Amino acid sequence: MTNIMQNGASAKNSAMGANTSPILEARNLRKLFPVSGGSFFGKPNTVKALEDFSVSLKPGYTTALVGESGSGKTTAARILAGMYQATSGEILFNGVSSKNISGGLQSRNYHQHVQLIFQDPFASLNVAHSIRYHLARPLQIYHKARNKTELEQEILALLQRVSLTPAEQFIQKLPHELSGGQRQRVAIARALAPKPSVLLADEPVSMLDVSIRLDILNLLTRLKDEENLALLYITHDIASARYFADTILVMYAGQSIESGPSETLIKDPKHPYTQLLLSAAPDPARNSAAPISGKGEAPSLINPPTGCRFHPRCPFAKDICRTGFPKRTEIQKDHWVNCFLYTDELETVSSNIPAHAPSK
Amino acid sequence: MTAQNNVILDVQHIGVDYFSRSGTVHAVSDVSFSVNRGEIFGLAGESGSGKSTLAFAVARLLKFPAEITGGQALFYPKTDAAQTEPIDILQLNKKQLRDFRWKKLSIVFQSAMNALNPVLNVQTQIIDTIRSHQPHLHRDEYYQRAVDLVKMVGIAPERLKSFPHQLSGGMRQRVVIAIALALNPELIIMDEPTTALDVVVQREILSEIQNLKKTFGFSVVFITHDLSLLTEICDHLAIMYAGKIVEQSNRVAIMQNTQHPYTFGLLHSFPSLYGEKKQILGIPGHPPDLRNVPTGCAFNPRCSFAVEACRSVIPTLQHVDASAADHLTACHLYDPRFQPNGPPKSLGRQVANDDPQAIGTDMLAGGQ
Repeated sequence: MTNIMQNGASAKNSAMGANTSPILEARNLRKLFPVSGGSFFGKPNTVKALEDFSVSLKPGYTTALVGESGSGKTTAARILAGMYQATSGEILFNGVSSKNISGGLQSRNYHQHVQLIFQDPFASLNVAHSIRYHLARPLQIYHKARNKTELEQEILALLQRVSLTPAEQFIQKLPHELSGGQRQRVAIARALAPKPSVLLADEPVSMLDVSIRLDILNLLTRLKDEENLALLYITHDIASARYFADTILVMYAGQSIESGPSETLIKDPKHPYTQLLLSAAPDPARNSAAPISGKGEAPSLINPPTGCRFHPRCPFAKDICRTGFPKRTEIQKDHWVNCFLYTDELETVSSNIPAHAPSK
Repeated sequence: MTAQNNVILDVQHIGVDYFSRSGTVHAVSDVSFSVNRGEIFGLAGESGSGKSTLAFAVARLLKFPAEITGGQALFYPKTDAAQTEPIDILQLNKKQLRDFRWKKLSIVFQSAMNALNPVLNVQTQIIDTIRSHQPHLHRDEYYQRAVDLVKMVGIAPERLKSFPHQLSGGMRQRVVIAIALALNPELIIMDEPTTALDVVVQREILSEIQNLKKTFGFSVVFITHDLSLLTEICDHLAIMYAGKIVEQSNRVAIMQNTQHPYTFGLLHSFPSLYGEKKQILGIPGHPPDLRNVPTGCAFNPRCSFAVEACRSVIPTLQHVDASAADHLTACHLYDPRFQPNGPPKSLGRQVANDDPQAIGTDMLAGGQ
């Protein structure tokens, strides 16, 4: 399990990690959440939160998951972290399928290596416990320290790694004594405690003040490079994804619609939604508001549009967009898009087409 | 105090304190600015910088434990006659305040979810607002006005019967803007109106605001923490830090001739979508606790240019560049007493070689 983690420095040189095998891979994940409502005798309603989601994370590389609220990016992260069970699809950790990551030894091993950082550092730390307690727990649970002195040493080392210095002072503080950025650093230290190989960062900076966001993102990048972590960076801010990720995966309403190396994707977006997202992002370099095409908001996922879920907003929508989901088209190496502008073929994976009959 | 014709709001030396058991918090201290007629004036700052408190003070919305400690806010209403008697907002009594609010100045709050009443439909809420200020109209006139208002912000009149929970986030914010427009105010204060919205919706709301502004000619005080958004839409903007304005100018000057290191840091805290992928560092440290503001310039612990004077002398807003009349900066970098060699060439953060943060970003910049 650890042999992959050692040759990280060389991986940086290879183009887009072609030689690096993924450490965590998700294949065709689908997630339905049952909700109340619907007709009394009929099936209960479900929120179709995620459809046919695939991603592969490589050590030493950052993958950004970009999408608006409700696009399924947090659901994807939580499935990867083992907090939810996927309705269908599989997760491969180091090439081994992790069918059952909800309990037992296998789950313990999985959780040690795949750690999640939450969005809100004001909610993710327990107000009643000191920083020492927060960092001691994962170290104890995963047997990273043999005795009390070693535990203390490890905690101090963790605090130093996330630049919370002097560590001796921070160790006994309570969360309310720290600023948002400092809290998020504690949350990152906690995620690092079991020595993971994959870090899932769910909007790690969106709750923080603008002036300290970069420090946190730079910290994550430094840790990723130092420890050769595979980093999944979830964000709604495509500009920051450009800076901190090697690969960007764009999601819309639970469907992944385009992915590619970050520079390529931003310079040459193919999917109309990616284009819309880019034109809507604020940029001081732009003088006046550029016209945007595709007004409106993301659809309800209880009864999502059939076919490509973007079609009601898409300026290029054709009849076929309403009936089926397009096949994945490779524009160039590592850059693919799911859009009928580039293909006429339907996606054949059955899980992609909603099980229910098209509504009206 | 000469009443210039194009000024709509003139705030002078306003201060706001919050009283708490652990001491008095000077949320806003000695802030002055003026808003021109028909412009969007941006107030930028991080959380705790006092930007919302300042706006609330101007709208007289503050309640105990907040107290306005001094200063004045003059509002110059639109009149045909030559004499423009300004309204001194802070001196208005209850009845005058009622006449003033919403007819002259309205406010759009950050969270549209909380600004609307969940148990009343949209129509009732819009009509309530109009009725409380114009009680003697006919029922049909109220209804017609409500229809006009929602049409104006791009909502179908059928949605008037909807309750807030039946509307999406963007539509709710549009309704709040419609209510703010109900009595044709001359100035609208918008407190982070798009923060909770997705980028695409945010863009739509912003262009809606700009269109409405063009049609009705009102002025906007736009409060946000998102400087990249402000520099896109504002005419003038002020940057706040720890309850004070640190730099104030027009949009172009702020971007191209940045003078305060904090402004520079903020502007460079946003990765851009275009242009070169360069090393960006943000600002070290974190915003100060307002109960315990650093002495001198409040920004000095985070400033890489700080000299001894920054820790003891509080800088005041001054004209730094004689050629730029509207550009004010509060920074000792431009004071010859403290900087005998003149200001530095570049405000870029000085990176020490042993800075662990810089190592990661070097690798980042060299990546790919």
